[in-house]
Amino acid sequence: MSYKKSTYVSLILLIAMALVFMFVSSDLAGIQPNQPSSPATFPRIVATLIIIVGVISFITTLRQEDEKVELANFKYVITTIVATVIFLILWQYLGLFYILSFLLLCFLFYIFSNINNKIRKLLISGGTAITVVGLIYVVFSQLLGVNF
Amino acid sequence: MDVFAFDFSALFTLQALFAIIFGTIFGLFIGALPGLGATVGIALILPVTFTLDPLPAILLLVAVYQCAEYGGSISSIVLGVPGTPAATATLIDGLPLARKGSPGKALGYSLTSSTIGGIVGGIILMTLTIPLANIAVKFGDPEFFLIGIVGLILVGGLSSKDLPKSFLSVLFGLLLSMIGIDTMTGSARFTFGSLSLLDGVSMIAVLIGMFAISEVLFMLGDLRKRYVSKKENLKTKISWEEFKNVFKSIMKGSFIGSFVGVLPGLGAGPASWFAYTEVKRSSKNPEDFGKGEPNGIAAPEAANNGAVGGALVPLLTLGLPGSPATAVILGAFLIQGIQLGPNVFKSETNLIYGIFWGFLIATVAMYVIGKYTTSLWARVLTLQNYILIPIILLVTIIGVYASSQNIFDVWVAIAIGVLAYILKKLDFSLPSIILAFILGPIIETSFRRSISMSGGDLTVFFTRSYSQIIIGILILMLIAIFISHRKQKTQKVKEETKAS
Repeated sequence: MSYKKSTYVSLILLIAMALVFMFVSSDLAGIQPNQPSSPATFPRIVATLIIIVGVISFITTLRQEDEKVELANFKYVITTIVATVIFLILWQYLGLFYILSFLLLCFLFYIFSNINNKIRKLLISGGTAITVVGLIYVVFSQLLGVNF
Repeated sequence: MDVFAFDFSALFTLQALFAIIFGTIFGLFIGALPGLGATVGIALILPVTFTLDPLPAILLLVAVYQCAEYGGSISSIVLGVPGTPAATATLIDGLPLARKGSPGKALGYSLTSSTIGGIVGGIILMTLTIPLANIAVKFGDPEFFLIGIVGLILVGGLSSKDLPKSFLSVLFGLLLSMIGIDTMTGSARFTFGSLSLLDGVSMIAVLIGMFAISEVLFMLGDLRKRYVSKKENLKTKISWEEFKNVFKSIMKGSFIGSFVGVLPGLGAGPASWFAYTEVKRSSKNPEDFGKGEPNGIAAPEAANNGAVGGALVPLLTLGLPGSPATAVILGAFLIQGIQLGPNVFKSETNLIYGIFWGFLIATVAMYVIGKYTTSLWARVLTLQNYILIPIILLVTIIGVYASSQNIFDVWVAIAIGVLAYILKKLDFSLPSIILAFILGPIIETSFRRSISMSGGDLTVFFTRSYSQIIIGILILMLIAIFISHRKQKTQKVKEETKAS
């Protein structure tokens, strides 16, 4: 991944976000017409500054030498994010927090582990997951009364 | 009645000692759990106070408050999961030092600094309560606005090697802080129709997403890594030499924390960030910060515990709670039938002086109990990354959910975590985003109130005497940042010339 190209993309997104905030602020400007400030005043100042500093950052990045952004073990990063998103969707619609937590932990322990024997790997992953989930149940549900 | 003429036997009753010890243990425990900070801890323990006498009841809450502020650093240092804004500043150097194989040292710096910060805050509470409260009430909106700007400029100027990106991070944090209901008019801003965003973006979700979830993604880079292999590195202690090296930062942090704590609305979070940026600014080796520099742990930890004593000043003298935690303590006073304000020093003299002395005893109890229990948490770092990562991920999810019981906040934390992972790779400044997010509402509200009061006249920020003092400090700090950047550039050029 190119550092310069990634910076340009992030700056464009940030400036676009500032423009959206500025655009939405126009609806808020009329709320207190007789006051020197309204709910739109501060967002407009900040959005304007983002555009100015964003352009400055664009220019300073142009002058820099490019380099590669290292993303070590990126496939694991993506796998972890996807697994977490699936976990959250299922939790939101099914409940079953403790079962889903056990499955999430078990899955992550299993794919991260470097044990060659698959049955041993599964047993260790499952055992660790059930211990952690058990501890969480005792501390959060039983002691602190948090309902998941 | 003099503070030293207090009847100390009132503090050594079974009920008072139980309150202090139980409050200390509970505060450490609740503070160490991600997402559950001092406010939640005080609120959870509040029903216990109904059956206690006024002094033990308030001491119980004060002990929880004090110890939860320190406890917050435990999960920050050991897991990289900050439960509070104050503990986030500690994470920047605490986590790298722990991961260099010295979690006991990192926790030792934190415990020692927190204790001294707490004691300094307590002494200030005992000696300067009335004069400080008098100064605090003279601070108006223009001054609060300027203090916020000082904080943002400091953190923006110091926290990244790329200055424009650092200031963009500040502005991005301010933008995030504006989402939700506008407190001055009640109109919804930038919620895009989402009911979950009416209360704004959750502070805990932003903190945990920004630091813990992004850290989990970084940790995936080395799954076989084990941070601690020697058991002696788990002991929560620092040597006399190590203590001397951080003593100046502890004192700086303690005073910054105590004074910032007095100002309503600021509290431990901004205090610890101000202390961190100040010791980094004045350090001879600012490049060591962020890599496990002990001064980077000592200053914010001393500040957040110093702020506890400071926050009690306006509460006791004016009946003005400056933070959610002190608001719950105010509730406990009201339940006990005590009206706080200037007259409380005459009507409840024994109680007030009892709180002062009890506060100091609770701080010492925190040190003693913390020293022997904290190392248990550090054992987590003896695990390899491939076991640690899924556990931290689940704990962060639970921390966010437990703070609001709302899955939406967990989604926000995950999204912010992924975003922070990318932003950090591109040299944006996560501390700048966080401090701007924390200070954003204070800055905006005080800015709008100031220009409303002055009828749109912007000179209101420059004409008041306290404002002029703050502007003077701001100019001095800007000069210091400029000189520091020049020095760094010159040194870099020298090194490059040498190398070639």
